[in-house]
Amino acid sequence: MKIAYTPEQQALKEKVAAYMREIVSADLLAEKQDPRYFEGGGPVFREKMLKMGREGWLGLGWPKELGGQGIGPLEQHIFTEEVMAAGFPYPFLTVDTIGPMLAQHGSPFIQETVVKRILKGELIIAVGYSEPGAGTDLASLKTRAERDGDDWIINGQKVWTSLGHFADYVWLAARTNHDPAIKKHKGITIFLVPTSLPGFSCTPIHTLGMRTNATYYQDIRVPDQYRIGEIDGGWKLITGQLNRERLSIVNPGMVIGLFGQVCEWCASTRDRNGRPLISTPWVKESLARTATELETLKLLIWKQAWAMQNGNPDMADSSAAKVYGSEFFVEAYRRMIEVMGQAGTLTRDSAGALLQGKLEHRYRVASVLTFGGGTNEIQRDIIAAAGLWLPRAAR
Amino acid sequence: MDFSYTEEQRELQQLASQILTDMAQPARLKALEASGEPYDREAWQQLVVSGIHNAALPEELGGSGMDFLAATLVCEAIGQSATRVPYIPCIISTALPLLAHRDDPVVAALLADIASGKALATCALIEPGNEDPFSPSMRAYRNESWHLSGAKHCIPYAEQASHILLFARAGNELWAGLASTGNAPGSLLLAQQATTGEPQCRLNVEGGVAHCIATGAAAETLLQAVVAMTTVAYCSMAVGVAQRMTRIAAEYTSQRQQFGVPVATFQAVAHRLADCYIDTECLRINTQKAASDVNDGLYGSDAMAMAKVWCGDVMHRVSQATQHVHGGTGIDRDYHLFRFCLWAKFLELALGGSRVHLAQLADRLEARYLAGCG
Repeated sequence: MKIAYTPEQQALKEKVAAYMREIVSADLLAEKQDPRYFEGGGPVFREKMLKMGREGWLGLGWPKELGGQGIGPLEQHIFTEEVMAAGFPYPFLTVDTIGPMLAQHGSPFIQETVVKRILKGELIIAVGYSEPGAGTDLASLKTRAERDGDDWIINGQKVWTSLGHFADYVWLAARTNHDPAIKKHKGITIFLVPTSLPGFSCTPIHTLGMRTNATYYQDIRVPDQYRIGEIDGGWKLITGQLNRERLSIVNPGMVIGLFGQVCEWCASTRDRNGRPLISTPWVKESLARTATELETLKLLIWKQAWAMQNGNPDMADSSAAKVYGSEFFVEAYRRMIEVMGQAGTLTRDSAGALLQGKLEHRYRVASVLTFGGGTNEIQRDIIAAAGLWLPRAAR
Repeated sequence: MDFSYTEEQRELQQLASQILTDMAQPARLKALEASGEPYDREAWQQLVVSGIHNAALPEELGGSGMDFLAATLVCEAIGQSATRVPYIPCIISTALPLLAHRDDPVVAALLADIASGKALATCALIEPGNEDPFSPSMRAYRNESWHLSGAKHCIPYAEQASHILLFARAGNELWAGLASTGNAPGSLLLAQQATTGEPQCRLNVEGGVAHCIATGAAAETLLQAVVAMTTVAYCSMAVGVAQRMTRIAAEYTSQRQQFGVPVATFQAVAHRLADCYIDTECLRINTQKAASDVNDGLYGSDAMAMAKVWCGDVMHRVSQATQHVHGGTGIDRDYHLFRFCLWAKFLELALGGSRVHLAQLADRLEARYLAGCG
């Protein structure tokens, strides 16, 4: 046991940090001020993604035979953490979750037309799981795909399709088996639906923090080559993708970046007696608690990445990291805005906004994390069953 | 980055765990507690004969030369059984830090006696009204030999130990030395009763003679090692306590039926225990990081203070939650959970509770950012 970066890992961290200072340029920051491009998707963002792809930074931890650099999940994590700490709107669902799933399960056609282009930074992929009537009970989804010769005809509606308005594909879960005798999660298949196909449409859902979408699939004719994995075999792809997503959404990078900025702000801001704000006892203690909990999240995620490298992340521990991380984020954003006081609530466009209103925005986005990627109640059920071997309730 | 233990470390933990769990039979513990025996001599003897107590001491002392990480796993096993044995005060707080002073013949003789199981030693870190180990009020002064003046308390196993490692102020310098516990003129041991039931003492000394080990920077380094190793050992023991309390509660709620179903099937109950699981993992990972730092000779890192913050919070929360889901059974002294709850309170507060360590972290964070290098 030695819990510290190796000199190589430390060097990689510094190299990525230096690279990202170049990527997160003034024009990218200016574009992020445009409400349409908070979460990426603008022309400068696209250009930066292409640059990162061209220079070999995407898919760092993917195996070499899948087109990555094969340097391992820990190094991939170091990369993602630095990218997010730099404030880049990194499409982690595409690069860190769907990409590796496609690389593992996609046909040669998918490898050629999709996987390679993800590594080049050319594609954004959205996730289509939830429906108006299927959230936590995802297996009850009703979007259907019917076989028609070499094609599938897809009909249905998805909600919370984040990035759906500029995504190139949707990783879509659809029902392909309607036999009432089989369990409902055994009749689901995954398709990679090109959003350019006729019958796809998208309307915005404006949430407290960001835009997401409802997406509609009306008689979309999708060639069978866009099916991923076995027919009716989608459930294990969904759980595989969600296992990766859970770790991605609790990546501490963004909070690491913001926390440093808040501490610097507290050190450089004077209170009305002329003392640095960071010398106020409750302020520094609140920051110290946040630092303690942030270090804990870093350690939990390092351990997950290390376990992945060694082949076997524990199911209860993945869920524990998701619950801990998401609840920490909510609390961390609360504490960080609290030290700024009421001025912390000024929005980014306002005169007098602090730290470009980043925390005013982040606190509105954070609440999604405790239920996104599998609600924390389900994660605690998983911990109770897989970590403590408690009997399950009938459901 | 490596989170794994070696085969040898795992085997040591399993052996310690097996011995101590086997001996922690409720009837035996009840009889032991009723007898007024201050600690579990039989369990300690088992650790001595099976080569566990000295596993982290060097081979030339008869130990196995294992590292500090191995010693933390023994502490975890002690936590899992809540056994009263002097491993932490004698081995962690005294013998391991003193290895750096083996060229001192008094220290060498004491280490040999500890390693062979012949003697116990302990360490005094706090004083009445002063819980900061780094600013002792006790004075050391020289008058041909060294003499001490002042008081220490909450010294574990002081009546059972042959020597007490302690720290005092000699002029402007820190002083480190050993006091014998025999009936030396000018020093008086008074028994104290701690919540865990472990034997502790107050030492009043007025002119008693002591053996000096180090002064100045060398004494500071020794004290840093003592505090770092003891803090991490308490956190490791706390990992064992938290894990066992959660396990006990999981087993009980899986068996206990109300409304015709096991109470663990109620989400409110299961989720409270899931939170205990998360808390335990957070404590574990911080403890492992702090242990890894100490193993690399890095004393007093932020990781150590952070681990102790978690230790305090997790001991309190897991103790309360596991008592709660049991109903009255959890607090019944005929049931085994209470022993762990007593240890939980001790481990929460020993060498500083959560707020003490948070305040230290806060001061360091303030200093770093005011210096412009966060």
